[in-house]
Amino acid sequence: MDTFEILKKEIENLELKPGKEEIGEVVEVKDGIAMIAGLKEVESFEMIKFETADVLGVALNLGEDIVGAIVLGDFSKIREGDIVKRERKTLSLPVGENLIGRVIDPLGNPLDGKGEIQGTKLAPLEKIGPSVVEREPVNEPLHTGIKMIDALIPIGRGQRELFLGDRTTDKSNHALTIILNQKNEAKRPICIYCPIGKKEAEIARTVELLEKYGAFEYTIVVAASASLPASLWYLAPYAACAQGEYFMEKGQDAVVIYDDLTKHGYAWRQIALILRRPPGREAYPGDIFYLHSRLLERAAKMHKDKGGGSLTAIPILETQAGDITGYIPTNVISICDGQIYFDTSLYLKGQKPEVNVGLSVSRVGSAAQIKAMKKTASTLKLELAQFTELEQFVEFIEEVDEDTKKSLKRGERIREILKQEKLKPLPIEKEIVSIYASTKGFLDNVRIEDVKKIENELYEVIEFKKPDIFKSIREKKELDDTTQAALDKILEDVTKKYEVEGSKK
Amino acid sequence: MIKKLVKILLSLTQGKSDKEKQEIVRVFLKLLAEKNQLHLLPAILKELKREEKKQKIELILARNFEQEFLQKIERGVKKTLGEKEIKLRIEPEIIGGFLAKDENYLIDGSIKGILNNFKERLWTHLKF
Repeated sequence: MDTFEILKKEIENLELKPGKEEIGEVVEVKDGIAMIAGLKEVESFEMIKFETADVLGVALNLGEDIVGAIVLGDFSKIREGDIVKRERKTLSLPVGENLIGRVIDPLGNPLDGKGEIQGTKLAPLEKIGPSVVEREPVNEPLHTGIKMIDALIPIGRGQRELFLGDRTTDKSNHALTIILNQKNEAKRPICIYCPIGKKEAEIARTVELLEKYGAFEYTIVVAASASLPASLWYLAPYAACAQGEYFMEKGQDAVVIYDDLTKHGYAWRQIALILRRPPGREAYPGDIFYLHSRLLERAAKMHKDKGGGSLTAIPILETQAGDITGYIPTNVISICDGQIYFDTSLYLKGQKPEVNVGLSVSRVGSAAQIKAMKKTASTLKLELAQFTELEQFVEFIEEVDEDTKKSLKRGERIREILKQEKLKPLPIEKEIVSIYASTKGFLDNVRIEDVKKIENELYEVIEFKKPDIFKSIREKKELDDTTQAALDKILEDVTKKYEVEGSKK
Repeated sequence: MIKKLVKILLSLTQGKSDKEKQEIVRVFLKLLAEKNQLHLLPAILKELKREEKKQKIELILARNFEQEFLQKIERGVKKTLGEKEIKLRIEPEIIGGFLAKDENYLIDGSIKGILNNFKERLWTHLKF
């Protein structure tokens, strides 16, 4: 339809009769919060509009004659006495395929300068997660591309796995590695990255990184940068979740990374305190647990009859001086199906990724691993734990027997092979080959410094000589006998060159 | 607390003669001074003004209407918003027509409102 016709039609349909509207009047404006008299019939979580300032708000506190509302935008233009109107709809934002590859704010407005976004539909930000009957146990792996996590603390599609650690650790980058790794996955999930309270430069850098690795074609960024008011920080994770839910409901897979929920907690604390809700421990309001539980409960693996989609949640939390028993960390640990703890001391020792295996767990366990990984990594956790114990013990002893020496050697090599640079995800078949090489003792007689070199050479040789090995693992998801034999042969050939003379076989 | 004070003050003065009212206010101010709470006065005044506003309908016009026509509007407004005192105000900004509001409702019969409505509807053609 051309512009003229639209104009003509709209003018014809113009309502000229005066209508009765429900209104309220601003009594007080505090940081991002407005107190409003009137608005008698307003509902909880209903959108309201500040007429003169042309900003939206959400009614949160429904008092006897005063309504407390958060202002979604610039609150400096709102004055006492301004008229507020009801919008008669709950807070919602556009969702759909068109948002993929875009950067939006929590209200669905574009931030990337690529023009207006046409969503497939409007979805409410707040929603109750799927019920028990609609769900299915997590049974499909979400490969992270990080050897240590895929082997020891596997994450499944529909799981909620918490990443926590001090501010010096690389939590965000490890989470971004997961997004990068989905590029070549067979059933590629849609990734949603939700930075909360991050610097705008940092968000821009992340977007650039995703674009550089070609990961932006399946990623949505829902950003609430540090310059936005607390109300938008508070809404950002719900908006990101709504984006993911759309794909889950369609039967697709989605991953949402909330980076980070500590800031989200801060934002909600700020809002609650200004709204004069009674403060509790560490001045957080009483519903701080519900704040995070209702968000993370929306992650799910849907039942086959309901489309079989999934929404995986990866919340990130910042700990203070390695204290995982803080208020918010214990809350979110108890909500999630496991946590991965990134340890500063390991980071400083040069072990990257700095995962503390002892304190990390995935409650879904090997149900979220492919058979080949299950087989190769079954003894890994035990061996690694024994090695760490032995290593500490040996520090006090001069002479050790042969068996202990052997275990130590094995352990050192396993630890070396699990090292991996950030933002360099590995496909699952390569991970399996590496871990197989270390746990089966092929690296026992080479120097530690050579381990990385051998690993790379191994990949090259397999790709060049026997690409079937990778193909078989990837497609069958199993390490069958013929593949294993072929792999053993190549491993022997490659490691032979590096074997240190005089060492026993 | 201020709300309670104002409510008590209003209920005390209700239906009383001007002289009685003056006496009540005098005692009230004395009490405030005795309790060292005079700093609450501005807030109390503000709340009183709000309470007063609740009892009235504000009628905003773009310019002065003829008496006959004005009465017609007033009758209509009172029918929807209830029998309350009407306070008239001229505000050329609304271009034409009238606006009537009390504490909870607004009747928008202004040209400005119609134009705003029109603008918003045109926007929907551009946005989702």
